[in-house]
Amino acid sequence: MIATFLRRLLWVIMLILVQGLILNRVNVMGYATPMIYIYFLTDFAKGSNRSALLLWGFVIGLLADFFTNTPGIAAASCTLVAFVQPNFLNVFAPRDSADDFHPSLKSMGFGSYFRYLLTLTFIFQSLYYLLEVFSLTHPEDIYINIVGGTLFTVVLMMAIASMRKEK
Amino acid sequence: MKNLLLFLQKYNYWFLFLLLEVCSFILLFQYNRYQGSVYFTSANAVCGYINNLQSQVTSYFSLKEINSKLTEQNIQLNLEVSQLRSQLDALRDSSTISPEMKSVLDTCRTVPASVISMTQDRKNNFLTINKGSSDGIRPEMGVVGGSGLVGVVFETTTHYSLVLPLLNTRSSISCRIRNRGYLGNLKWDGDETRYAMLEDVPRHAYFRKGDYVETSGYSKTFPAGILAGRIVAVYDSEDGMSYQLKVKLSTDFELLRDVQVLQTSNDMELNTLQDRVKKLQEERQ
Repeated sequence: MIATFLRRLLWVIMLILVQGLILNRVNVMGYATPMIYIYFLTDFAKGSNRSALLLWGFVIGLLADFFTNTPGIAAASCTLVAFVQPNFLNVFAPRDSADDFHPSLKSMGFGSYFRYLLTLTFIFQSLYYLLEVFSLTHPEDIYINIVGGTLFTVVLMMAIASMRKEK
Repeated sequence: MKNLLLFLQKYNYWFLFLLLEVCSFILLFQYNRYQGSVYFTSANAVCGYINNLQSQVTSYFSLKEINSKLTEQNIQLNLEVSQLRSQLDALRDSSTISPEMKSVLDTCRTVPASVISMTQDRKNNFLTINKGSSDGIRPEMGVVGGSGLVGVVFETTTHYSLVLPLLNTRSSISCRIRNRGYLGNLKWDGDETRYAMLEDVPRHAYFRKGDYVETSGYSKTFPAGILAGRIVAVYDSEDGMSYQLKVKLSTDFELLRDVQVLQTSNDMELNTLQDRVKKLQEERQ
């Protein structure tokens, strides 16, 4: 229990530091900024406590907000992702998976895992940019931001996933 | 009753979800409306410390560019000094600087600071500097860089301040066209970081491309005459009632590192008033 908590806390700190120190400054062509910290939310196993997942989502979003001066935006988006993550995991996981199924590149296969990450990242980025811009005067800008950010983030998350060793 | 309790137990995460979303939105909207949530920004102690460490490391990487820019600026300033000196020599007998103006310039103290974090790719950018209320910085003070206008202090903590730069769609600074006097509001349209728009310039205004745009001095934040940029293009406003001038900003935010905070605020008025009283007393004696 405590080991799980500490492991998660370590992930949060690591991802937030990588985001705040490096990735916030990455800005491909003026549009695509990767937001790697939602990898943490995609990593929860099937059957995890949904309330705990929501709280983790809120906290990691709020921490990310500190670095970008956007209080509430990432927090709201991460909470939404934490809310829908179990449902999408059910959709993309193999049908005969165990009750404590852990999503990963190996356990789901490249195709399913990629689509799983893509869906969650797309939901996150859409809400994030809609809240940030908070108007629809330049919709084409928002679309490019959302699509660019989503693709970049998913590629980075796939890279992390392929580097992790399976237990 | 039992069914209701079971229902609540099974779906309690729905309520938690709604609660957390409401919290996020309260944060989002409060921040826009009030200026009280400074601890939820990069000016808070922990983020400020981390950003400061990082900027100490990364500041070495841009030294070369900054050096060449400083040299360039030095040459320009030297040229300007020699020009001004020759102008001054011509005007020596009837100096145009009034004593009041001089006392205003003397009372305008500055605090040097370094930029420790900055965004440029958003619609509402902020930058954080490493001086705060303990260095005498208050919200609404003006911030200038080596080559011109930067922005206005938005929030302060003890050791750090959050600055609302020109590159923020919420920022609006009263400016005029140098030597012509026509006023307008300098705003950023959220597009290119090197350009801003001078809006609400009257239809009858007379100016040319390449004219300089400077602060008007009609607010307490900036004294008059601080360079903002040069006019590069002229458009009509949407309602056709005024001009919109595209201004190339003199500050390159990509390279911005060292800034000065202008401690104008009330001290300036107070000091000029005091000087006037002194002068009156001297005259009476």
